[in-house]
Amino acid sequence: MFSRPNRKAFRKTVGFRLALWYSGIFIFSSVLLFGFSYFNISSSLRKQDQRAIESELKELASLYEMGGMDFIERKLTVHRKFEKEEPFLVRVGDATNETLLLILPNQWMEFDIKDLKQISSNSSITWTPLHNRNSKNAFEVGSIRLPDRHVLQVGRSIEDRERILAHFRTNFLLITVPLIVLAFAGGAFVAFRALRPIRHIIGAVRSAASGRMDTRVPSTGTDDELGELVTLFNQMLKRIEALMQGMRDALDNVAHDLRTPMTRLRGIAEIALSSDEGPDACRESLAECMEESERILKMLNTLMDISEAETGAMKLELQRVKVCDMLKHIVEVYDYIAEDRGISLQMQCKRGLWIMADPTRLYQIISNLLENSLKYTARGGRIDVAATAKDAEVFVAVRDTGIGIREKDLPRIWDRSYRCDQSRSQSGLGLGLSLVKAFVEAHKGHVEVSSQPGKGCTFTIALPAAH
Amino acid sequence: MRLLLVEDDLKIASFISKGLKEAGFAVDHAADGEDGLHLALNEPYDAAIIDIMLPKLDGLSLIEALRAQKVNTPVIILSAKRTVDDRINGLQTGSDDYLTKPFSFSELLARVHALIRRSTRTTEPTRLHAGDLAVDFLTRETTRAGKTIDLQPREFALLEYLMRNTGKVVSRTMILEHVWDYSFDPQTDVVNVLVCRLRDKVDRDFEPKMIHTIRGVGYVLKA
Repeated sequence: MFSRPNRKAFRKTVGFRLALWYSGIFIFSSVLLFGFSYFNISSSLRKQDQRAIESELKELASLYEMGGMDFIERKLTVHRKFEKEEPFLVRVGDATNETLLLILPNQWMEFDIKDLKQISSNSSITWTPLHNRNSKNAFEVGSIRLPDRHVLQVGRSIEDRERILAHFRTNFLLITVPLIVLAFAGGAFVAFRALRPIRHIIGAVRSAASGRMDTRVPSTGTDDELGELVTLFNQMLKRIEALMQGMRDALDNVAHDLRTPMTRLRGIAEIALSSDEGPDACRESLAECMEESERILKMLNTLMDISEAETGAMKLELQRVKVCDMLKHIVEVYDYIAEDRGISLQMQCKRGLWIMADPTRLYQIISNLLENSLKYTARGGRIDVAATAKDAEVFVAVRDTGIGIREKDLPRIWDRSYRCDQSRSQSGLGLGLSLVKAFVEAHKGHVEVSSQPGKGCTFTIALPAAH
Repeated sequence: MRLLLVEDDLKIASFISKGLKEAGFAVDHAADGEDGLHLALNEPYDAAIIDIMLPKLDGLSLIEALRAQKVNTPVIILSAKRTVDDRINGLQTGSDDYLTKPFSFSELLARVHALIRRSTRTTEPTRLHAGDLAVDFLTRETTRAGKTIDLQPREFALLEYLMRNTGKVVSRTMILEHVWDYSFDPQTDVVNVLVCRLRDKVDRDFEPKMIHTIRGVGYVLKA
């Protein structure tokens, strides 16, 4: 959307819509602000005019009460002689509002008197704005009905007021154009800034979709929602990358590990086919083929188990497992082998230990540890299986008096297909301990090993306890 | 006994049919799901062996259709997947079984026998003889040529299993399942150790030897 803008799509972008909203709100509030001040100024100017007219009206009304029309006339004549500015229009009408007296300043010459006659009035002041049709002049007229039902009208030009307001309006219209431009530019800028992480994410997704899983979205360095989104997104990418890498590695490993037994299988069959020995030899070769294919299958299954556990694709059917019963069952299976090899297999279990685990996987974990110990413990040796609990974790330890592991080999014993020199003479897939580690970690547990070369070693698995 | 085999891989189908026919079964083969369903609905079979991945109609839908028509032929499901998926769990009745590829033919044969035995509900005998070997499953008394043999519980369980399948090969996996209730294959040959111990007691001092190893396949007790 962002990185390849075309005109049609651009109108659909979030950035464009945000900018539009932003400028819309900006313009709306400016208009509101202008309207409010315009109204305020205009009403205060109007009040000022009305106050002047009102005081004149009152003065004339009291003069009229004292001496009737003559007093008004006299006062106005005097007034006109001395003060030339801001002359008022004064009109006195009878009960039917027929003109009795009219004093018309020069500015009012083009004014149509009929308009004044149409104004109805009562004891309080009635305000009427009047506009001259031919000129720009405008007036405000206050009318009042005097106690003898005559009508007194005083008017004043509001030209100044109109000029100020007109100026105000023109100014506003003049700044509206730059205001709109500014609002949209501001909106676009804000949207552009705010959406930058999103654009980065889009870029990352696009490059991830094309197969580059090592892309990361640059951090925003902020603690807000977008920053969190970027962090989470990067975590997700990292996990996908690990998964894909894991699968690729697993495939490589499977291919590599299977080549050797496949070669053996092929070799056995080939030799049997090309030799002239009798049916018994052929039968023997066929049996070897069967055994070899069995081993290949077992290896394939184990490798897949490990890969699934390591990449998190393994489906665990978790349930509460009573640790002691489980250990008892497994130890019983291996009892015969231990007895056969003259090894004492002992079990100690603290009562009442429960863990959440997939029983089949758990059996595989313990079996592999036991098999490992049985393999490297000599006749007359001893293997102890013990279960204890500490801090919401259950520990199952398998201790043997076997050949032990050299210090330099310790960190690598969990690696896939890693076999130390001492173990090469033993048969096995070399996968047992990696399976243990992968399975235990899939159960959110961890593994530990300690060893004294020549005296034996202890493998411990820790799994979260169930309540 | 008449069996239905629904399997699209012709090589696998041919070796299974051949083996089953040699074992005395009559076998009908269908190469796709629709043919299989048609046969299963119209012919009476004692058991059916059905692959999951089939052209036209997959194995699970086939079984679903069968069950919907109230045809309760016991079924052995063949699958290339290692894990039993939930749909199979939902479909499996007590008389059905499940086998993952690759499997050994003798294992399939043993499971077919077990399936038919279960579905016909033949009562299992409480005493069995094989040659001069006699076992009483109630008193757990074992004698060979009149001499009493003292067996430990797992050894007895293994002997019982071999006796009940006299003349038929049982695989290591099947022994693990029956004797230990173990659902996975340990690296070490636990079964071999137990068989050796049983041989020590049942075969060492006697002739002829009764427990035989079929390499790469399993074990068989022959009278």
